[in-house]
Amino acid sequence: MSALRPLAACAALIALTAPAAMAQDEAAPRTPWGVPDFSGVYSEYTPAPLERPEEFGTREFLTQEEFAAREAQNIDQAIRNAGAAPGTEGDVHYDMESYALTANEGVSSPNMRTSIVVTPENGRIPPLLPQAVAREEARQAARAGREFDGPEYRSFGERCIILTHQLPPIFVYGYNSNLQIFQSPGQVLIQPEMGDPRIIPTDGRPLPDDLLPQWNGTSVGRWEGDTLVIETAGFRPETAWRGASEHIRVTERITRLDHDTLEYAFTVEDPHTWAEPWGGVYPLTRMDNILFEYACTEGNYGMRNTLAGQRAAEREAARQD
Amino acid sequence: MQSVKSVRKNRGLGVVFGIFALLAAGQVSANGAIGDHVNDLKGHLGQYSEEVSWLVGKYDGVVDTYEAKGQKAVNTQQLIEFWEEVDFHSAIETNYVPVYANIWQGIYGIKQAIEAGKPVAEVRAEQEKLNSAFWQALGAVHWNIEPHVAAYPVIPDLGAQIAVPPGQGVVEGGEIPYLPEALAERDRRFASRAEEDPETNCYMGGVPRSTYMPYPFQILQSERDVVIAYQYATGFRRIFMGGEGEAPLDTWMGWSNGHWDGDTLVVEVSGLNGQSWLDRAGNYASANVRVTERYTPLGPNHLQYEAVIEDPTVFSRPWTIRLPLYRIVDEDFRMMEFKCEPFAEEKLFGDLRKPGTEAPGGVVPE
Repeated sequence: MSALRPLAACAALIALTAPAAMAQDEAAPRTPWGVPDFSGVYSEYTPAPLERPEEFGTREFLTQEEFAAREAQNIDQAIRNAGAAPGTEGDVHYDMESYALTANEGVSSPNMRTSIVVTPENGRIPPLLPQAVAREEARQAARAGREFDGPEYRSFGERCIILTHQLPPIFVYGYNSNLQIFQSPGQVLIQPEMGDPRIIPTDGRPLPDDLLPQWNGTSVGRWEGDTLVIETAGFRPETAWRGASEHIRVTERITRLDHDTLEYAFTVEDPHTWAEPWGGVYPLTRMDNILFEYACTEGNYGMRNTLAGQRAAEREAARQD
Repeated sequence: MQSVKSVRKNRGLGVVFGIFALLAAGQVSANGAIGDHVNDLKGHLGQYSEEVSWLVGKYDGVVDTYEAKGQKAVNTQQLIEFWEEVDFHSAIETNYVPVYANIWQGIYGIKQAIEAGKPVAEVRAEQEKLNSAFWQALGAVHWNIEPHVAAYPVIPDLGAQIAVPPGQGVVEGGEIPYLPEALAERDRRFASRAEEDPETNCYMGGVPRSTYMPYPFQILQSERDVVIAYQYATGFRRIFMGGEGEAPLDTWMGWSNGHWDGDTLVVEVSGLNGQSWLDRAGNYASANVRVTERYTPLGPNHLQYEAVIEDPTVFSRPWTIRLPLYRIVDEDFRMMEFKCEPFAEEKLFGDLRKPGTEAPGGVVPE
């Protein structure tokens, strides 16, 4: 992570409202058809936690001292210091530096926020409604004791179907937390590195009411001034992202903060799951790099190893009976 | 068409592959002179197809007789005579020897089952194997991206629904100029396509196959960028228009450098990993392949697509695929996702399922 940027950039970054209109110059490129040009490759890395630590209450921003202290503690130290004594099982993990799993793997922008979630004002995801808790319990009961029976009972991520943090709303993840944006007249394409390319028409068409369920949902976009607003619905019920139902709707708002930084804001609402909408904001930082092919299915040795290991364990247990 | 040299080579392979090498040697003389038709296999596709139908009917008749009247009513020598009667025999013998052995195995499977007085169901099972070998062989002289007539489905359960429809092919000149060893490898892949075609595993289609798979794709372009998103396996290519150099390493969808030649988008594709196929019929190229694609507008709703395929380790010369691409003009069309992973799991991992359990059917909520 680079040193602090000039204060002006920080100030823009921490603002929730759209920045003042920038001069039509290199700092804020536009496409030949006149909309902001967001195309490029961006890192989602940000040091702010998803939910706000309770000690901050409703305070959205760190002090300069708190900010400096958080910057000093990168993710590998956090994992190393997670409480596991050296030489214990819990201390067995990747060499974070060798495998580029540190917070410094991707570039990031200064972020003085105490949390990514900013709505509700305590910065924490609202509790699940009783009906959502009941759905969650039913799902767990349905797979209880069958977790290793076959591929269908493993997680959607292990099965290379979807990684839920790569669906809208896109969330920061431990590795490959990058995305690329392409634009053509009337369309925007967003692809998270480990997710699917999402083609978003911005030609003014509405989001239909009768959407067929898709793993990635169905998105439509529109420009509100210089902000790209994307509405997504029509998710599959099985996904149950953070306990949500198939009625979840996601709104994403992407706005330029400066030449190399976009602000990614999101709101989720699902009255079958949460009593109120919630949402957050974090920066996307341009990378001078390309995204590489993420071939999950094609290299899914993990599934074979997982199931083969369980079958071997069962045979061993049977021998000992 | 094969040279005399490669025909000889394939005969040699027949001895290596043929489990019934002795029988095969006997049949060569019994079959007599090889007709001129083997020098024009494609010109005789209709004849071969009719012969295979005739053969299937004949073997069916023998097994019917066995079922109705018993072992004594059957002259099992007929089983061999039928096969010796058809020109298709020498076509297979001279060109597709691995399958040739399968056919003999199938014939002897029926013969021995009848002679041993096995239950009819077991004889029918042997007959199924023979039929499968026949149709594989017929497919081997037929084509997929090469010209081909309609053919039996790989997996027979769904019958005509998943049968192979006919096609005139998209290969310039009709035939892919394989080197002899590569042709044998293509035929091996054809015979095992149900197991080996990466499409059956939901693996990315590669280039150029993704272009003509039976799924839509979408091109987005601006002054600076061209990207292509494919419905199948949510494949994706970014075409670098700014000279991004060579592929740092091989991938399924390869590394695409594009430039404009007048109104034609020319894309040089390298860095393909050689694991994707060119179609469902075992046609392939290696990781040494370079593909040069040309996308040329023919009108508002059509593109001419051309792919020149160069791989000196597999082909004797560069060759060309050419087909028009038709814009989807349906009102409100959107490319829906085809996440095919769940559909390949039984094939890929079913052998590791807990004994005594079955696939749950449908998606288990997470």
